[in-house]
Amino acid sequence: MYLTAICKEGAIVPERLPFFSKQTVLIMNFVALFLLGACLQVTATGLGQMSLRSMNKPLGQVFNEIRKQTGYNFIYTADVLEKSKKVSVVLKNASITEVLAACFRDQPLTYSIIDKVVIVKAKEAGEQKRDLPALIIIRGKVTNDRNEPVSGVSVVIRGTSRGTVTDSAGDFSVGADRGNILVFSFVGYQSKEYIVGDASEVGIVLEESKRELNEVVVTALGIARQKRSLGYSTTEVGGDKFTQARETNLGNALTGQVAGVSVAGVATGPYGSSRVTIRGNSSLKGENQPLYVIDGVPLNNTNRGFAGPYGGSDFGDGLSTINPDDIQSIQVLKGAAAAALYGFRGGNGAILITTKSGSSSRGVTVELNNNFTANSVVDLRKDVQYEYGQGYNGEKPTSQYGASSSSFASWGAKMDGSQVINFDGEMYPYQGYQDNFKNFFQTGIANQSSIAVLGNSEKGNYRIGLSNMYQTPVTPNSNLKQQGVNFNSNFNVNKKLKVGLTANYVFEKVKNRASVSDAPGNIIAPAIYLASSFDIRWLKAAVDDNGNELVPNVDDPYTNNPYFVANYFQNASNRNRLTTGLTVRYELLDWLSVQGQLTRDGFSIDKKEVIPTGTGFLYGENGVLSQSTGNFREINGNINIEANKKFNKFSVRAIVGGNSLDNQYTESGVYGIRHFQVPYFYSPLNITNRPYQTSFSRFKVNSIYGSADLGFRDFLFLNLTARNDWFSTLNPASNNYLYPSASLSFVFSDLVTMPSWISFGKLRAAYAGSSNGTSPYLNKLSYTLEGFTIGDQPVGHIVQSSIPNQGLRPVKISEQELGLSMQFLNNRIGLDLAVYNKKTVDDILNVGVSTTTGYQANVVNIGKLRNKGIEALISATPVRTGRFTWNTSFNIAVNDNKVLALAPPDNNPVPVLDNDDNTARWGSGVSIQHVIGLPYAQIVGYAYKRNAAGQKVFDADGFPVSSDIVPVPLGSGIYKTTGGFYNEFSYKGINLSFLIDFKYGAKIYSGTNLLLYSNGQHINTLEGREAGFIGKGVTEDDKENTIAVRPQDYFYQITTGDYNIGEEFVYDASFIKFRSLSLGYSLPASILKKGFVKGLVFSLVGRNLWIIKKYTPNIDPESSYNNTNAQGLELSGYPSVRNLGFNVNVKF
Amino acid sequence: MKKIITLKYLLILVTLFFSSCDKDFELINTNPNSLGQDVFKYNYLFTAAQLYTAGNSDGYSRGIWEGSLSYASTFMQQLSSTSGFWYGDKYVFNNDYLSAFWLTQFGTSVKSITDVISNINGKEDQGNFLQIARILKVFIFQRITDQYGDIPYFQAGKGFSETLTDPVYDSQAVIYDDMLAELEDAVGKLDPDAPNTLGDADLFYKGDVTQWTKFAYSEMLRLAMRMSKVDPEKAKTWAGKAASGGVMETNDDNAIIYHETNDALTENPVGAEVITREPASYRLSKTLIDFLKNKNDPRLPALATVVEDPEELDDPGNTDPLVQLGQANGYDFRGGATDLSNSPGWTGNQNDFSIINRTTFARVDAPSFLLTAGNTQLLMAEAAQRGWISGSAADYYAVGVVQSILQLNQAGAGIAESDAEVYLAANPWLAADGIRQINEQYWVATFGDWLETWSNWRRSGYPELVPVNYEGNITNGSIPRRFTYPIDEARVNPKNYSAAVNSINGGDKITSRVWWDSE
Repeated sequence: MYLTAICKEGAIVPERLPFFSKQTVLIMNFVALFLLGACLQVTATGLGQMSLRSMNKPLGQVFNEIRKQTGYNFIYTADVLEKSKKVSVVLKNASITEVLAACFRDQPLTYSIIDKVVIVKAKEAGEQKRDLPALIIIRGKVTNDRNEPVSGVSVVIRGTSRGTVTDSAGDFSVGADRGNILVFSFVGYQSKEYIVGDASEVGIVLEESKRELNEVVVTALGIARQKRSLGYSTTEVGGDKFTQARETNLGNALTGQVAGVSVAGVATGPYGSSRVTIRGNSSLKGENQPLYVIDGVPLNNTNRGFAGPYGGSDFGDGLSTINPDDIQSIQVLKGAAAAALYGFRGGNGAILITTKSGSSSRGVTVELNNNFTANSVVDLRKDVQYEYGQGYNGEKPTSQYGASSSSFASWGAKMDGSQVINFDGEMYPYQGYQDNFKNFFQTGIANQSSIAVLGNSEKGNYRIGLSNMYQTPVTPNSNLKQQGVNFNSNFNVNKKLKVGLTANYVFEKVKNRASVSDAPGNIIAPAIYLASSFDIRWLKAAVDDNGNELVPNVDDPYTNNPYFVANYFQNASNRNRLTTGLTVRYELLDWLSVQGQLTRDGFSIDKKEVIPTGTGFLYGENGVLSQSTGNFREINGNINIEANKKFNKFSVRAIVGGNSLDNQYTESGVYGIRHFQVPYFYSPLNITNRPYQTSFSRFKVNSIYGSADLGFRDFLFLNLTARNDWFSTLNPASNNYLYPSASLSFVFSDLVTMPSWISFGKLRAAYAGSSNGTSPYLNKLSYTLEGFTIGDQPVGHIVQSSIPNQGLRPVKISEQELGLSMQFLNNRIGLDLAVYNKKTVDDILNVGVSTTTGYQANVVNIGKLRNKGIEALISATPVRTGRFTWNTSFNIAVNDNKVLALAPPDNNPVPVLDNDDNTARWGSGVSIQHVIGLPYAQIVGYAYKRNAAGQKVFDADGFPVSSDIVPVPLGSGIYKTTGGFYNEFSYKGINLSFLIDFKYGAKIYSGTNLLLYSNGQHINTLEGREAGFIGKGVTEDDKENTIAVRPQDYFYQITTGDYNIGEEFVYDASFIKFRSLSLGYSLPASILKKGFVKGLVFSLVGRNLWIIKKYTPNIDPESSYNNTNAQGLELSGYPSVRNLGFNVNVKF
Repeated sequence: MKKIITLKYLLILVTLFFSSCDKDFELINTNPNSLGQDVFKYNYLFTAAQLYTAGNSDGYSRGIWEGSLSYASTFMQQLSSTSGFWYGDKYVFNNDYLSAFWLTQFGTSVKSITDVISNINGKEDQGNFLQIARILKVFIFQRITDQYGDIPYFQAGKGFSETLTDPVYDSQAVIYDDMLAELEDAVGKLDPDAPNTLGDADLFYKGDVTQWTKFAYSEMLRLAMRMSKVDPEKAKTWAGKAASGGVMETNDDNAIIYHETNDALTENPVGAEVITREPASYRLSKTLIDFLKNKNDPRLPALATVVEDPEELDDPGNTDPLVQLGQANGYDFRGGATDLSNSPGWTGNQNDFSIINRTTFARVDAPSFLLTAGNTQLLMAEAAQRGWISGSAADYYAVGVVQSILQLNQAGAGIAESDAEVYLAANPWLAADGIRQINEQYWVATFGDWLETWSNWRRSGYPELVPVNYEGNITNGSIPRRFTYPIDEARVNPKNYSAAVNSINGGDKITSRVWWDSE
């Protein structure tokens, strides 16, 4: 018997299949049906009722009509139609069952429905003779797939309330009409329908609902594995989570989405970088962000420039070049075990980004998306005062000079509206100007348009996505222009050979990234710190008559005029990036395949920064220029051989392969050159002596790896992997390291009969060893020449200031994890728990050595730290009716980090970064250090000295005394607890979703608040303006402190003076934020079905809408000024911005 | 069977794939922008060692600016300052400044010269280069140990070559013994017939072995004379060896770095500081000006000038000896008893007081004199007067004074030889007062090289300076006798640091004395 399947756009089953066995054909039929079901379900959504008016029409025509209206398809043998009788029937708003029953009445045919396919067959000889009894009694037994009877199953005739339940033996009997549909349903099983035919005895096998049964996820190296077989924690985030209320930097969009993934907020503006860590920070000095892989191509995510204590701009990382519209899904491999096949790169976990392909398209589809947001500044300076105006010593400025040297001081007189001189000699009313933010910052806009063309055929599929992004941020005279092309294609050369090509090409131009942290060139700082009676618009002219900067404060020219910064300072970058991969896969045998892949990630970045002619702090010099070009590329080539076999109850999958990585970065340019010949001409050619600099860095890692998946009866899985890496960066005598992993998955719900409310249960356990790699050139001494001569003689020097270490090893990271994954109440509730313990040893530290060695530091494997924690994800569908669905999920993770060992001999704190970038600009001794026994990245500074009762101690002059002669740890800048609460409501075509996220357990040293105190702007400086400020506490002999100090002196002293107390400016950085909101409306299919448009979704979107809870006055707690390991320092960062807009998605 | 063959080919393919791209694997970790030990020309590093010994005006200048200018020049009352950050003027303790010379010299000169020696040692044809490097190394270490006393010496600069990361401090007496032995051994191995592989890379002598022989013996004499208080016998022995070996006699023998303006690292650290950075923050000291004036010293116009406003950098000022005025040490502008207006000779205007001449030393490209014939001959005079060497003290004194004066012509002065002779005639050597005379001349002759001025003063006690006694000073009104160790040593080299501190009589203080400065 050969079948012909007729389906408008379905799979084609060949008419003659002599090569295949009967069994194969059946399997193929099943596959064909499965595919049919998959593609038809979509179009049939929302349909069901139909009307039919047929007068003597051939059955085939009627089938067509039914298909058009309901989406139900028909499969029948070629001779069926010949046998059929014409149909005459009139029905209105009838169910498919009724229609079919009517159409098949008196036909010599029988039919059954599987999913939405009607299979039509000729009746057997005996069947034809029977007439239809009005009511038949159907008896049957319900069993599960292990052939065990299932009791309590509800058996209902669809559309009626008639029915019964199975008894303890799984037996039932029910009376029904022929053509009726029996619905069998029971918690924990997939519902099943049975169309009553002539048989009176039926056996129903219910399949347990195992959502995870065949769910396949992408794991390390792009290997697709059954989700239930994974012995480690991974989380998938759908691409739709990134497209609505979007972020320019994809990393920032991950915040709150995945348990254990912490995204540090970096206040550097919309083009800045992100800092994503998974399960804490595992290296004291090295990389702590995960490996990003896009379609199998490792993506370089290095930050190309960041602000330090003395200012600077964030030049972004790799993640801002990914268009969310291209993302199919993101798989987060949290632990070392999940990322073990990445070897040395897996120590921080991995984030796998899969871009959309054309495989889901039917024919050619076009998708358009446009996302527009208007972005406005939120002035968080709620705790600043507008009672006392500009000036010092409680006095108003009385001269132009007095005014121009106090523009950032609010220690003046009580504001009374009287006429007072300002910095440019004009008189103005002495009153509060509360709108400096509003008056200076503008409403930014961000618009991203994407168009994608998708195609699919049996030869393969493709998707081409084009995007254009334009942004103007809240700071004036700045913009970002980004164009991207994303290409994803798969081509089946023949049955055995498949070729895939992906490419992501992005052009990005940014003008005037904001400089944050310290004041020079900082466009935000003046708006924050201008005196309470200073209107920022007085600075609008930007330059004086000579074209020189109109400096707001002559005593501090380093705080620039923001209008001058906007219009004269230059900061430009131009980045072209191509990330591409070619994959060739050949099926050697039905169980053996080989795959080769070549990938390249490369970009060039041109940067130009100009401090212009006329800048106040240049004192007449014609500007300063830095201009450079960087080129990055990483090439990976790998070959995988994969074998898949099943033996009875066992399944084996083995992969062996190798990878060769070649990574190179070069940069050349001029840095900080000055003495221009011609003013306003900022080119290296405008300088007679051009000190050209160049740098080069290259390393290779060769690897061989293997993975073995062993499965037993689909409920017990063991995955073993090993990867050996050879590093070019290490001494050849000891340059190879082995990274093993083992993980076990035990689906206990398949072994043991669970209570009915448990749908699924799995236990996981894993162990893995990993690393973090090493930097090149650390193990050899080398020399170079200075850029000058003396007496015409070249001058040499030793490149290294740290002693090269011949025996350097990569850091060792090992992690154990246990997990539990459960589904309850017919998968309505899901729970995923993970605990882990991650240990880092041999971390590479630059240990300071005596200068008498000739060097500053010794590079050694010495650091130890550990992260342990727990992660929980609860997801639920509290409501699911036909029209209304509510999905919700809550995730939380607690990470406990502890530094265990640092450098001997005395294990002193070590700076988080080797240069001075870990220090705070303001406050003595405040920096970020690692301290033994405490969590990562401690803010250290002076604390208040307190008596036994905890009261602050004040000296004889009324100033607070610090607790110790050396700075003390004041808390970690890394959050301990992170999580998110996501909700999605769907009602008909309306979809409402929002995300609330929270982080707890970190501190932040707020330089902004320090300066607000120092400048007399902070609301707390009001106390004692008239009578003097008396610190609450005791004197050194434990009597109550009664010494009154002028607030101006008191706060100067504790901020930047000799009595600096860092503790005062350390705040709890915890928060809860209403992060994003999306309200969407999908046009119903009924409206769309006849038109050209296949889908249209319109959404209102909002991001960073509301800080529900925070403990940091005047600033957003997520305000680090860079994404380095030195987290916990804040100063004059990018203001908080709220994004509101809309998203339109159209499919053709 | 077929399957197995297929697998075999696959494995071969994989192996080929990886081996083919690995031929350069071990070479990759060499930065193409740098040179390895096998190909580097160590001449360039020798040049660096010489240059950095003189200091420069980049970050490395801290050693000279903070050690020599801010402290030693004012201890020695050649310069004077009312600015708080010239700590030496009032004997104020500042560990950053006191340790700067240590940090910069170990980090540059010592690092470079020890690396040169460890790499060229035993190399063919580099014999003379090696001996010259050893001689320079002695000179570099003397300058460090003279300021700090016991220092890491045998284990210093070997962080990479011998992985010595916590160098032991050696006693100054032992260091002196070794330095003298090193000089004797090295100079003995100099071979005039061997090839000159150093050549122009040698900023002092272009690799000339004869000149280096004189340099080595002059340095030997300086070391010997430094021991005059603590071990006269040994001083005599080594002074004798130096004299018979042959020391510098004319200014042509001087070891000089001629600084240039093309980079901060090539600038004169003293010159750059006093002209471009702190032109108004100091004045010449009353002690020096009075000394020069009283003796009608022809050096006065070459060293001093009066300008209307020191911030006007282009103004060369008035170098007429008559208008030169020195500012007393130990004064400030704070309105109290030590306010400059209460200082002797106060005129009412600080700009009446002399600053350094802008055509000689107050220049970014002024030369640094490291070891000179004038200084050497003055030491010969003292050795002769003490009877440690043969020859006439008066003759050595005469050469020393004249060469010291004319040495300034190498810095751009135009002093006639006859003027020097006139000065000598007016200030002849008198046996009874010889030691004082010689060392007062040495004091003037080392202007600009104040670490040496201070060392010789500590040894000889001349000139007899009246210390300032500024309120709150930590020396109890005595001129400091030592720089303190960098406090960072306590963190990075704690065991050896505390051993060294414990062995200092009086502790790690600026009032404690180094070994040769015995009371």
